[in-house]
Amino acid sequence: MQRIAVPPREDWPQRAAELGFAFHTIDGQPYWTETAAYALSAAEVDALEDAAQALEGLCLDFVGETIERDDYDGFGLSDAAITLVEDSWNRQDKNLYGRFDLAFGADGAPKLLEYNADTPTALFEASVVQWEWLEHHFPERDQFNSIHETLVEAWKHFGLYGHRLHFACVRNHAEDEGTVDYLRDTAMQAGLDTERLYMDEIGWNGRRFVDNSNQPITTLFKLYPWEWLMAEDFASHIGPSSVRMIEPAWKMLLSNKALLPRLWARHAGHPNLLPASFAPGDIEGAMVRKPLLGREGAGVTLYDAAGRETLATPASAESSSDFVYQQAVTLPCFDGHYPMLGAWIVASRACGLGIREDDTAITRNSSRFVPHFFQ
Amino acid sequence: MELALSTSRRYAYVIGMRKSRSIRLVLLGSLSLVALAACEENDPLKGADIIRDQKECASRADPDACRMALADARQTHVQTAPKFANRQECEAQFGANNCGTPEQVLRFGDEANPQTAGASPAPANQQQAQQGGGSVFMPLMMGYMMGRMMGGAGGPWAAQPMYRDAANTGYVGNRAGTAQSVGTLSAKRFPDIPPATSVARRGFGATGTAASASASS
Repeated sequence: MQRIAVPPREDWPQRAAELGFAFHTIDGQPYWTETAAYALSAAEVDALEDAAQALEGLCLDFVGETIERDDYDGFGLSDAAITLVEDSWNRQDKNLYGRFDLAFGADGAPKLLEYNADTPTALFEASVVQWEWLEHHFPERDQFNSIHETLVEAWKHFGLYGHRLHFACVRNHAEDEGTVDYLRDTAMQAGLDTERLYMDEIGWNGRRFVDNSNQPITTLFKLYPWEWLMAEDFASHIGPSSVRMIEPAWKMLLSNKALLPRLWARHAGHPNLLPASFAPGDIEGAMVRKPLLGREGAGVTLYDAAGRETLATPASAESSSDFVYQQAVTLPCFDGHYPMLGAWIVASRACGLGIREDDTAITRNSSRFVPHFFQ
Repeated sequence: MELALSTSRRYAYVIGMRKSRSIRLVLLGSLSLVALAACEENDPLKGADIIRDQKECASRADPDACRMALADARQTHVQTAPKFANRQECEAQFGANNCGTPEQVLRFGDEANPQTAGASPAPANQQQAQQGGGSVFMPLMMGYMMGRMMGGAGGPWAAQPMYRDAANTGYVGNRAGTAQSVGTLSAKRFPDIPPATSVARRGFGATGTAASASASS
């Protein structure tokens, strides 16, 4: 894997805007970065695809066994949440997408840093924007990215023809709105009837969730974390409403970082897993402390082998105060840039890669998206 | 050429690449939505003619208008075209070889895939689609009617998708609402209209509104 300099297209902001990429610049800083690109080998892409596919298999097995054994240790789930997890799994509610954040370990194998299983973003830039960039600069080269067609195909198997599919996210957040609009675009291309609204517009009529026209919401794609839903006023209506959610409630077992020590306990030594525990003393060498629930790198602390804190990001009000500990991977550093490899899963199939890089070894919401190709 | 999943390596060796073969957006970007006027008095299509391809459009209107009109027609087409569980039912209404799966019917106007009236989808793909469990069939969009909204010069362009009729001799439109009464699948739409009595709102979203953190990652 190399980081190469590529001349940016002079009109890239205009091109991005024409694609509908509304968040290429965030807080005045470029988020989409095309002054460079990551060049991977086909063998590296194969390793990433295999790792993501293997991890998805481990995760699905984990959900099934956890429910079967009624063993929710470490997740901090309420009884109400467990009921929704079990009901959605037993009903076989379908999952749409997720992103494994990976880094190559010292042994050359991709290692799971975490699974963004519930509300992943950086999707549109991985699926569409870096593809358009590649077609412009290097049309003869390949990219690990069939995310778009895999999404369109996936929607056809949700059993939604004849029903309306609603999409919801928070207000005033360009990245989330862009992600939801893109997913809605792919659903429309699969021939689905769609509607979009904001989370706070969702209504409850005593029997069903309804949209702004008081039409029932029977299937809801929500770019909104399950643990937030469960803490809010309408939480108790989710079960009785019989609404189908995407992602389904069983993703609460995968989007929680308790997954990391639980997976390690089941599969210690797996080449794509890092040692992880609920207790810091179990981890040898440098390690990372992560909140059970938290996004965009909030509340993450790095420790060196002597247990000294070397780097930390501020916790957010929403990140939890319970932690897991994971052996640290030394992220490669290219001229001060630390790339994180986001392997995309659509309908449980590994189908693409999006790379974000940061100036530090913790990938945060200020990290930048950099396109890739392989040869 | 039809869309094909290129994720599996075994398959990738056959077709060569693991990247998307083509990407089209119907909602985002320059193909953005133009809202249609709802009431007949302001019928934007009054006096409109059927446009059968983008060349025909280019001879009558400027490129921006053609792009807007095509995007609008596609949007309406995707949202309201009747959907059928099998090809036969669809063709009974819209003529032989005039129906396809959603990917096929959306290709109208793509420069790489000029879809002209009467063109039939590739037989191999028909077979594949008929065998596929999740497939539905929709009429192919064979053209569109375009006009300015609210009848005003300088107003935004709007368009309606047009289909062939059952005998394949003329065109039929798809006014919002009417098409939903045909089609075995879409006829089941909204079986459950709730009473419009007290609806509580704002029961979700509070965490996101107050959050310093992102809802996504």
